[in-house]
Amino acid sequence: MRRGTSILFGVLFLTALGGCDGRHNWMAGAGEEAAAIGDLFLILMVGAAVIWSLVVGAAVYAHRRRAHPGLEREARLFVIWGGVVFPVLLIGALLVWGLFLLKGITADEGDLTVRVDGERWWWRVTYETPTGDVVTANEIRLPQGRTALFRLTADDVIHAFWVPALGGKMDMVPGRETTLALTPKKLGNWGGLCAEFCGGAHALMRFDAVVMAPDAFETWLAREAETAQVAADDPGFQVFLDEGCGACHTIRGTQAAGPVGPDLTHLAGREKLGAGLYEMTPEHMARWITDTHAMKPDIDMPPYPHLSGPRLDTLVDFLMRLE
Amino acid sequence: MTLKKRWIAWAAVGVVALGNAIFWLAPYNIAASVPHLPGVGEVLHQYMRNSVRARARSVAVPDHVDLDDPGLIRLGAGHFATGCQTCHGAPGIPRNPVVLGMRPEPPALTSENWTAKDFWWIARHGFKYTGMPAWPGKGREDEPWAMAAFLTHYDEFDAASYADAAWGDRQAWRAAAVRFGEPSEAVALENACIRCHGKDGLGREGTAPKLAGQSEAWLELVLSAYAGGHRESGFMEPLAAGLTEEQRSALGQRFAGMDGAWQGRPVAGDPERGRMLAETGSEPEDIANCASCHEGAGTDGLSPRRADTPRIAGQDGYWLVNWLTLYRDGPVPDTPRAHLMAAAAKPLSDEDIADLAAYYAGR
Repeated sequence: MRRGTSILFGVLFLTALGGCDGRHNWMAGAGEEAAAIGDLFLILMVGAAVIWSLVVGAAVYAHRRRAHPGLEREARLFVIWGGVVFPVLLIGALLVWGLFLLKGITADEGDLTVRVDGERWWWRVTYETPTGDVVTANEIRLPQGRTALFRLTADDVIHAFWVPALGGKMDMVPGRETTLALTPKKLGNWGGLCAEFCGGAHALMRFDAVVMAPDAFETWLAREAETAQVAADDPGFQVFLDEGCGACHTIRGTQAAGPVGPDLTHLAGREKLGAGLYEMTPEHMARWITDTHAMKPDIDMPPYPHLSGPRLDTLVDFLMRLE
Repeated sequence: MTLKKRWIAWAAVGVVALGNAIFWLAPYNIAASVPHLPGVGEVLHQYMRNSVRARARSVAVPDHVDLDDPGLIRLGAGHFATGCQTCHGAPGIPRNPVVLGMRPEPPALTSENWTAKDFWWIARHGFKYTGMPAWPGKGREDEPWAMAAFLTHYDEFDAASYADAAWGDRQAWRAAAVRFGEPSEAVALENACIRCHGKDGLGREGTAPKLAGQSEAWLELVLSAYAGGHRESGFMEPLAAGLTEEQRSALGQRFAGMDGAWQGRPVAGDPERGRMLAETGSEPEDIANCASCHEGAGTDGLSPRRADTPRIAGQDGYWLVNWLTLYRDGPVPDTPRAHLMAAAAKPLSDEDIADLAAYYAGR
């Protein structure tokens, strides 16, 4: 029985440890803010371990020793210094440290500004650039070594923006704006997610946070700012219009200007489909269109099961060309 | 104690035996030819009235329904000719002797005794143990208001004005009874449609939706959906159910071929805000724009791109409000693309709907 219990706990512990691995690892040190919190956490843990050992050691010592009534004054001083003054100073110092850290993380300045609007259940992403806003969705690319200021909003319910490996998290609250600064240090595709339960597909509300070399980032952003190159008689675009996709989705540079769903101007340039869920492949795209709610339950996009055959292929082919 | 138990047992046996005797021997004669015992008919009738009053009290007239609207009254009169006149007679038309043999016999009607809400409730729900059926379009809470509108004005009609309201200038038909809505020799096929939709397909000044120039595919799709129970309507299902596929196709062709200028009857709302929602949509409220599907083709650019999508620009405001509310609250048709419209209607508030209807009615 006892053996079974310990095996169970062992399994649970290892499972929990699995969360510390890979692209969602908040101790990966991939961002300065995450690293700062990681450092604080390490100091806290080591300090706590030392103090705990001392306290337990003192308790064991006191238990084993015979009582010395004559040392009452020393004992009282020991309790006051060790049990009141020391913890107050230490915890006060940690609080001050933590507050300064928080101030840095919620700074209102950065090398670039990215607005992220939490939707059920995806992310509307807007880069503020000198030449105007660049709108994209569900994938956030960041330049290595530069501080990105995130201005966070939500237009339906409370979400929370979190890229564990880079730092955070921060609530996104309807009706107000919160800010968060992230300074990525390590290149890579880090996972982001919604960290506040927001309804049915909450667990499927994810995104890729791709950290790029600054030059590559600038190239990407310039390209992202461009409109889509779509020929007016593109057969796939005709299917797109006929099916009414433009009522919700925007493809910049075309008549499709729907404000509701994710901007599709450079859809195929993203690594994932469905807000950080599926690899961007034609197969996933076809299934996303026809069997939407099997791939992501409860979402506002209605499925198009009546689309099939060449019409569907043409539409998917068109969407996969939106790079 | 045991004595008491024995008594209870015997009493139970007695009750069961008596119940069985009444059930199997049926001493109360339910023959329609035999009158109720004295007082029974009166009690049942008063209970019926109480039942209606108690339930109709909590009914509310929808904002966009005007019970004095002549169009709505004509629509009620038209459906009365389809579904009610057979049993109840009509202004200036006596009841058929056949129905006088029913018990309770369907009464010749009057506007007295019932309020508009009562009429709505009765038309919507019907009565058990009588010949009065519930509304054929099960989820269509909106439609029986046309009956309430007509019946609250019932006493103002005589034979001529009733025929005019129900049939327009197709007054040839005067029979005292019609098979429920079924086109027959008495009701020529085209008369069944144009008496409400107008011979020009423009809806007889707000009696029914405009059809002239809608695509043939859309008209056929809708008629088939009514016929197959895929689209609910107490007005249209009884009429469509009797049509053959050829007839539906012929009707679609006929109305698609009509060429009328649409000028929607207005409805209260802010058309400027409606225009913004219709053309652009709204990001914070997740409202998709209407124009992507319902505009973009035709000579005026206000017809839909797809043949299986209806034109809405210039439709009457009343119907636009009605349909948007239906797509939002149900019953949503289960035709192949209806769920797309339901998804579009989902985020709309009553105000959004009024504004959109005001805008498109004015296009």
